Amino acid sequence: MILKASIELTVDKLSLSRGALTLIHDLNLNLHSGDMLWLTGPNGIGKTTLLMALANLLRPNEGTIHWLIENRPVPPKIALTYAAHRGVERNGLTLGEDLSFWQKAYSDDTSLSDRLEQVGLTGREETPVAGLSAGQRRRLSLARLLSSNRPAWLMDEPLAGLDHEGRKLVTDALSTHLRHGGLAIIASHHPVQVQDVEARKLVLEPGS
Amino acid sequence: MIRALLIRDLRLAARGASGSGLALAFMALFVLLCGLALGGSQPALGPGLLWLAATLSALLGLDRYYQPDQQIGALAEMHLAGVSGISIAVGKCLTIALTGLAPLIIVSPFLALLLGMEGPAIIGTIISLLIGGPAIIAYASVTAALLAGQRGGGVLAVILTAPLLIPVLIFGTEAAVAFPTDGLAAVQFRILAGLSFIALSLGLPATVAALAANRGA
Repeated sequence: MILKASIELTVDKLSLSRGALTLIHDLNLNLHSGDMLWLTGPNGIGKTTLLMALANLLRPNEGTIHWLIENRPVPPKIALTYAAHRGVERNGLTLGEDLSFWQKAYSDDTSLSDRLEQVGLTGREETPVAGLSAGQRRRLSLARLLSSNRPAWLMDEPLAGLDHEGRKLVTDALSTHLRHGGLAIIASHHPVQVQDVEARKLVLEPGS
Repeated sequence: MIRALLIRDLRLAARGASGSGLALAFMALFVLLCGLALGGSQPALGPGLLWLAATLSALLGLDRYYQPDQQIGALAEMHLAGVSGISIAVGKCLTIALTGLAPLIIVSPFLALLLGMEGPAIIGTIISLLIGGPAIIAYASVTAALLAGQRGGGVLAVILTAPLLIPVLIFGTEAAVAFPTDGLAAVQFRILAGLSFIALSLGLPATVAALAANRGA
């Protein structure tokens, strides 16, 4: 794996709201290659909203979000990939058909079977998506993250529904990603322990 | 990329709950009921009834094209993956053509026989449906993309799209009626083709804009 280009995220005086409710007020943030940010806080506090704003899938009320690669501003879609809590796989396809579609979308040149092996789904190409367990869907989501080849990973509850081995797959993938100059922002209720990485913690609280 | 999108959609259409089947059943029922209500076979009204039936049936089940991908976030992820809006729009229009409209055009000659239509009139109707088809598809795509963020919205889709399709319906029927005497040289065919080009040139960018609006960015 080659070393990824240096990535940087700068968030300046960000305010986000849902309807009349202000969720995030005056948030400043600066993250670099190798950084991991752990977003936590009670349900409905705005973790997912913040992730979506960072992915440019939601317009902020105020403030700016800049993604930089090699100190040059880039469009968010070049910098990041976003793994939502609910995966984007479609019932009606098989696992192989679904993942290879996303590999094409991301122009990923790793083979399908290698990707499946990386996430512990070897030989599951023909399994219908409708028949996947919650944990297998998480693994598929991880396979899409790996296929994206983007330097920043935005992950919403990446460990939900995973067994011990699955959690290790995710944390190992994160560890490799960060070691190669990637960046990760993770919304989760439980801490995500990644070897040799001290996660920065951002607790969203009511009225903060 | 358009090819990958189309293959994915065709697989989903082939395996999912079949919207195409429902639209076909609706079209057959519509023509059958028209025959009953109008008292037996009505060859003179045939082209108009078939055009009406095909248009309304094509507008049924528009929520199966963009809505599922919008709701699970797949359209947003396609955007992040760098798939352009126009590729998505063209892919979906091809899906609408192959799974939505093509089956309706294929059954229309059989329904035409039910209405007592004759050879030249049937051929004229099919040719006019083929030439006007892109217009139906383009407007259907815009409406489907606009309503992708809404739950339900099936009837709303018909109401929103129907006014846009009125000129297509008028000249489609006129072209089919003119075919037995004037053949393809009938001016109505040229107008119909023009309407299809207008619809495509407006519909594709409007679909892309609607997808961007749905994304909230």
